[in-house]
Amino acid sequence: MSKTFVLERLPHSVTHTTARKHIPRQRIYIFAGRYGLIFCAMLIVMLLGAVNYNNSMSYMLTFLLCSLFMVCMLHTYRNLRGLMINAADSRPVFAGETAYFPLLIDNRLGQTRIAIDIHVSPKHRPKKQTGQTYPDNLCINVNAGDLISKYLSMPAHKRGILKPGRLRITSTFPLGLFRVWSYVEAGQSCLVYPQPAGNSQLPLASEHDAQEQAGVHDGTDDFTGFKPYRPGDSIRKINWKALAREQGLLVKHFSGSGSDKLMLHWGQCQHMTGTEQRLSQMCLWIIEADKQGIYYGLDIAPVTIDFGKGDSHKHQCLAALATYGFAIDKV
Amino acid sequence: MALPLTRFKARLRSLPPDLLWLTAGICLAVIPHIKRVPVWIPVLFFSMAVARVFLAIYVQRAQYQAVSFISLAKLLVAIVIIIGILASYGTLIGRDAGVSLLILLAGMKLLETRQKRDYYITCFIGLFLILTNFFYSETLFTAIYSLLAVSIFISALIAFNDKDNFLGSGELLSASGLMLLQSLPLLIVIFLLFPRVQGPLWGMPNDTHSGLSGLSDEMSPGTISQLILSDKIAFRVDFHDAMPAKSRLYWRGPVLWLTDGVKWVAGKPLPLQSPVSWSGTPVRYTVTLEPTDKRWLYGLEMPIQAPAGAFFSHDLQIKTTTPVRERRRYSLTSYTNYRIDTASHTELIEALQLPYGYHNKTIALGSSWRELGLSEADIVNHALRLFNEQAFYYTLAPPLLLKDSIDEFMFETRQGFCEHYAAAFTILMRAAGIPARVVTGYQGGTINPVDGYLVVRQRDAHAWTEVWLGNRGWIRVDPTAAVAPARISDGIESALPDSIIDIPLGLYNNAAIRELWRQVFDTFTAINNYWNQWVLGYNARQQFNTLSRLGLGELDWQGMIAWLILAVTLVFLLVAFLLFTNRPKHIDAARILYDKYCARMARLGIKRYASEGPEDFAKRAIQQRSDLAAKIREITRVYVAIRYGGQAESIQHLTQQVRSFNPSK
Repeated sequence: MSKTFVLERLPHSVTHTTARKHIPRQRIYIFAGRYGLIFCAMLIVMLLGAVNYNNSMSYMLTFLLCSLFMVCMLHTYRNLRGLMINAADSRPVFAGETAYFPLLIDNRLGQTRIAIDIHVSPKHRPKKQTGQTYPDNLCINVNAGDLISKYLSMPAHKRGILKPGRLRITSTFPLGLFRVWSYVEAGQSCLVYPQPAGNSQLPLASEHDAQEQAGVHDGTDDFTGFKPYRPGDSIRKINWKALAREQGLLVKHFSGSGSDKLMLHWGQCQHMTGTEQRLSQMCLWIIEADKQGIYYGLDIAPVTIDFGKGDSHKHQCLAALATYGFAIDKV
Repeated sequence: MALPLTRFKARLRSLPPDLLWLTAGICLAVIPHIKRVPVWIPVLFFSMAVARVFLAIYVQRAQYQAVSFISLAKLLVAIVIIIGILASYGTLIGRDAGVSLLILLAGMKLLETRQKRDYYITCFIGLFLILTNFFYSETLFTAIYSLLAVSIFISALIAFNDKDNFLGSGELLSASGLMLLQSLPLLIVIFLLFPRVQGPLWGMPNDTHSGLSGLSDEMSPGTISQLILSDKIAFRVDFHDAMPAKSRLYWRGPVLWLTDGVKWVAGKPLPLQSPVSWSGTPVRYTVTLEPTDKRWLYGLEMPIQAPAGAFFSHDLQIKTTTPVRERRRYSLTSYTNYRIDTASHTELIEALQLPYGYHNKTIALGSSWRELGLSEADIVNHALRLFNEQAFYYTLAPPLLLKDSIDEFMFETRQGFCEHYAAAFTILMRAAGIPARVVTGYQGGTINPVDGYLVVRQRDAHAWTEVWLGNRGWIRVDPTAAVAPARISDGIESALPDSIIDIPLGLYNNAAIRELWRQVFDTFTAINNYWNQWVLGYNARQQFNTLSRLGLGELDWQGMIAWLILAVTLVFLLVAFLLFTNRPKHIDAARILYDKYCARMARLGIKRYASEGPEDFAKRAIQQRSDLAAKIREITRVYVAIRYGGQAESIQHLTQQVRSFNPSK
């Protein structure tokens, strides 16, 4: 999912093309920063000096700096005005990793923009753990007419859904006397799987399941022949030589000894204490099972996922772990 | 040895650019002050600046932030600085001491720039230092120099806010130059319309106007010859009528009556002004007087009326109520033929005063003429003949007179400057019973051929005498003319050696180069004059004149503020409009022509999509308007050839094609 925003106003030259008419506009706010206010105080002192000494050149310098102050306001505002930002979701990560939210900065119609900071909303900003450093903001410089992509990085400490929330886009360029800011409610999110941990040895499949399905599904032990490729088959089993001989996509077929089908449930994680640890353990098993290419399913009430394999199945299972216990209607 | 050098070079390259810009700006702001403050101040400042740069080379920024200056050490340095300034000036307030304090404050702040706050405060102190320079110098050169320094400070601020050092130094400088350029229209509007307040808001430090050179209301041997060395401009004159002959250009300043044997001072003020009658043609002119910090103006002998804000003293000096502390313009009308009578006999008695116990030999000489029974006019001529015929010399460097300046001059050295002659002549006249007084002022001036102004410099300072000849009133007698007639008829340059004119060394002997130098000098003086008239002299009065000329009439300060706000808003919006409207990015001629063709197609209802290339657009257009097919194909072919196929086609061809492409619906 991705959304595009434009700050304040599109350049005149593009407003007539229909495609860009519906891009939501974000208001830009501007105010004198702390140093802008000190600068103003300095101007007043300078003016008093100029009046008292009746010194024309002092008047001149004071007025020059005053004009510069106003021009600086325009420049600071222009630094954000008309900037287009496309914000997308991050790929899922495991807890403890860093989530990268892609941002597409579209400046094909603007002038060079310098030192634009993108901040994650403070409410959503993860707390820094000891010894951990990551930037609070993303600093962007983009040339006139350029289209660049940047990643907003955020450490994912806990499983669940990580959201950068409302992005605050600020700049004080060029002189630091003014601060402009704008908000982008992009609704970006990142699914954070539990951190894989625990025993990497897969639990034994329950006999009932194993016997019922034996010989029907793929195993990894004995090669039994080739069969045509179906979506979901592991690429590691593709017979590349056959493909090179233009025999089409053939998949090597193995028959398993019975452990090729695994239903993961709470009962197998008795050795772990606490739900989070158990979820971590299941996460590790799912990764292992996927690596071995066996069929696996997940049974964590209220969620049950039937046997399956492949990337999308793995994602479905991990997502179920990630959102376990959270009231989330969409995975 | 090579290794440390390469390491040094690498570190030099990794220096934070914002710090270098800031240091450069501060140094530029301090440089004009170097000569004005005690020598230890710039030495201390520059060592702090150099120390900062070296610290930046050898200590990385992160470490530098960790290095915390011991506040006790900082306090000690501050105390030493304050004691040093107190020892040098005896005070901490006032212009000179304030500037010294500001310089060292900038140095200390620069040395401890670690955070954003330090950086900005240092920058602001630097801008203040630029401002203080204007209390000493207001020339055009100062203005250009200060503009450069300001642009360096702006570059420093841009560099600081450009966190990733995205911009190179050239780009930084051009960005700051562009911003200054864009502030120019606003600056002009504010400068013209901001209400000027007359006079100081509070007492100015005493040293504000020290160092202004010019005539004083005292005269002793050496006071005027000191001025002769100065090339500074005293005032400029714009003649509305024909300029009188140079020998008549006597600019009247302080009139001196009393002497104690060493120096001459003004007399007691008398209530009644001497009656004057004029004849001949009037001369109208406008004087632009440089600040003197004195309470008088100069006028060509003899003005008929004092300008607004000034009055005549009894001895016809133009006095002002307040010291002239800013450049002042005033218009006068004078007649060079005039006759001054006296209003009271007290002044005639005062004009016979002689110092007790001084100038005995000179007084004896004067009274001996009286005893010979000569008429008053004869006595005057006798004295002038004495100066002319005997071995008197006009020189800038007279021998030092130790005991009785006038007796020694008259009978021993016989070398003197105008003040010697004027004083000696007055004493002679008084001794002979003729009331006499010394008049100081300026004589002559130089016409600047570039703008036609008469420029009167300090070196035109002069002193002469007025004697009372009963039925003829007060008559001007210039004893210097008897010794050095060229001084009066051709100006001071002809009477003095060339070295007085500021010609660079080594160019004396070449007449052509000297002439060229003079032309350059004259042009520069003329530009400076416009600068003075329009920028420096822009005070409440000038503002009133300008606004009346703009048709705003008589505005009180509320009206002016209203106009100011209106005009600033309009100009601000204009600048914003220019800044925000996207100018076409394609500046190549082919693209502009092609865009024109597309606009014409759009008028027919065939718009080119942003995603559509020229060839595709042509295909679609031909489908809709097959009648234009040939034209469309040709324009597209030529455009594509120029843009993508090298210079296979000439741009003229495309120009012709597009110009002739004028389809109707």
